[in-house]
Amino acid sequence: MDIEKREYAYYPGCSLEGMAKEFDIATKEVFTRLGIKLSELADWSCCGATAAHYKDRLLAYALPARNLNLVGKSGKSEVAISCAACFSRLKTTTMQLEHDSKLKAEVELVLEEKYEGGVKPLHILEILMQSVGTARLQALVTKPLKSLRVVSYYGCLLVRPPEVATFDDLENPTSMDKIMECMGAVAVDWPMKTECCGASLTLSKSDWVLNLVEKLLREAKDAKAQVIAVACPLCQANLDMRQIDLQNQKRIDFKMPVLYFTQLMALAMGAQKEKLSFHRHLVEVQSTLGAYLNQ
Amino acid sequence: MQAHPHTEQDELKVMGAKCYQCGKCSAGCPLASQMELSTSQMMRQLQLGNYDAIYRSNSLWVCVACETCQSRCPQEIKIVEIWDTLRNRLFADKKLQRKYATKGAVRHILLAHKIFLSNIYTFGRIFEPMLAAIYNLRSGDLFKDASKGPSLLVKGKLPLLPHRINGIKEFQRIFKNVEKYRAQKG
Repeated sequence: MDIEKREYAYYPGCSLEGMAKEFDIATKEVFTRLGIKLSELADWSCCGATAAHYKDRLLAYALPARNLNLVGKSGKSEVAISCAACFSRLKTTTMQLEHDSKLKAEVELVLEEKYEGGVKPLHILEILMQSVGTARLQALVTKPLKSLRVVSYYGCLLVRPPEVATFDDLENPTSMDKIMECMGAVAVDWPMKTECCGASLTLSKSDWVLNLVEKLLREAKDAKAQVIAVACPLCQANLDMRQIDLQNQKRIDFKMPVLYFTQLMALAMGAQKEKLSFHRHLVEVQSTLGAYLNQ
Repeated sequence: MQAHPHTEQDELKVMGAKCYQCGKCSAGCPLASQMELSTSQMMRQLQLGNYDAIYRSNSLWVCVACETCQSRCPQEIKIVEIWDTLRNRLFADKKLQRKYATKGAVRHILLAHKIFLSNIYTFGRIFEPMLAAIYNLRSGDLFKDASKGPSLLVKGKLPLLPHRINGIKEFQRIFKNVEKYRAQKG
C-alpha cells in the first residue's frame, strides 16, 4: 500500500493525555506531515501497565484485549502506539492469545465478548523505520538539526522482551539514532541505550529512581550529548522531572533537556512553536534548541 | 502455604529447574543493589521450594519488570512470568499480604500498584494528579514530590479534570469478572 495514503488506528495511552501531552502533539504533527492519518481509537481504555500484570495475569490480558477489539470494530487491522509500555502490553496480548486457547477463553469470559484477534500493534518508531523509511523522512527536513549532539535512549520495553519488541536490536538498538541522523543531528553512541530508568518505582521509591537517573544523565553528559531523545513517557518523566530533585537534593545540575524523538523530528521538519511544546519541560529546552527553531 | 494447590507450585519449580546459577540475571539487574535476594538467589530458593524466603525478601516488589534478566538468560527461563505468578499470588491472598507486605518498601510499592489500579478502575484511564495525591495520603509521605506540583500545573503538564471513558461500566465489569472467576476457581 502507498504509505502516503495509509491510515492507522491510534492508541495514545493515558500519559499522552497528561504528563506526556507534548509527545501526542509532536507525533501527530510528524504523521500529518507524512500524510499518514492517525485515527484515535474511540473510547480506548488503560492497558493496565505494570500494575495489572503484577496483580492478575488474566486482568493483564483482558484490559489490552478490550482495546484490541475496539481496533477491530473500527475496521482497522493495525494500531499505532506511542507509549513503549502500552505497545508492549498490547503486543504481548496479541501474541499470547494467539497460541493460548485456554487463556483466550478466560479473557472472553471476563470481557463478555469474543476476542476477535487479527490486530497488529505497532510502535510509531517501527512504523517510521519500516513502513515510511529514512529517505522519505529526510525529504521532509527543512531545518536540519545540524551539529546537535543527541543520545537516543530506548529504555526497556522498546527492545525487551525480544520476541515482543522485534523491530530493533536487543542490546544495541539503532532505529532512533538513524532517525536523528536523518534529521541532520549527530547521533552520539553511548552505553546506556537500554538501561532501565526505574520506571513505575517513581511513585513509591523515587530515591532509587534518582540513583538510576543520575547514572544515565552522567553518561549522557560524558558523551557530550546536548539532548536525550526518548520514546517512552515514563522514561521522559523520570529523566526530566528528577533532574529537579538532583538539583535540590544533591546539588547536581545536569541541564540536560529530555525530548520525545518526535518533538525533535517536528522541529527539523519546520513545525511551529506550539507543536513543539518546549515550555512543558521542567529542564529548560529553549537555550539548546531555540537556535534551530529560529533558523 | 497450604492455601495454594501443590500442582501450581510444582509448575513454577519446573520452570525454575533449568537455572544453573550463572548469575547473568543478577549482574544485569538495574535494581540489584536494592534487592534483599538477588535474582539468581530467588531462583535457587524457588528450586528449593522455599516460598517463605522468596516472600520475605523485598525482591519481587523492587523488580520493575524491565525484562533484562529474562532477555539474557542463557537457559531461556521466563523469569518475569515466574515472578508475576508469585506476585499474583500475594495480590490474591490477604493472609500472605499481612504476613509479608506490611512493612517498608514492600508496603509502599504494593500500595502504589493498588492505587494505580483503583485509579484506572474509577476513570478507565489514569488521572495522574489524583494518583500522586492519593499515594501521598495513604503512604503518609504527604509532601512527596509536592514541590513540583505548582510548576507541573503552570506548565500544563497536569490535566485539571479527569476524563472518564464512556464504557466505564463494561470496563469495571472486566475487573469484577476477574475477581468472580478467581473466587470460583478457589
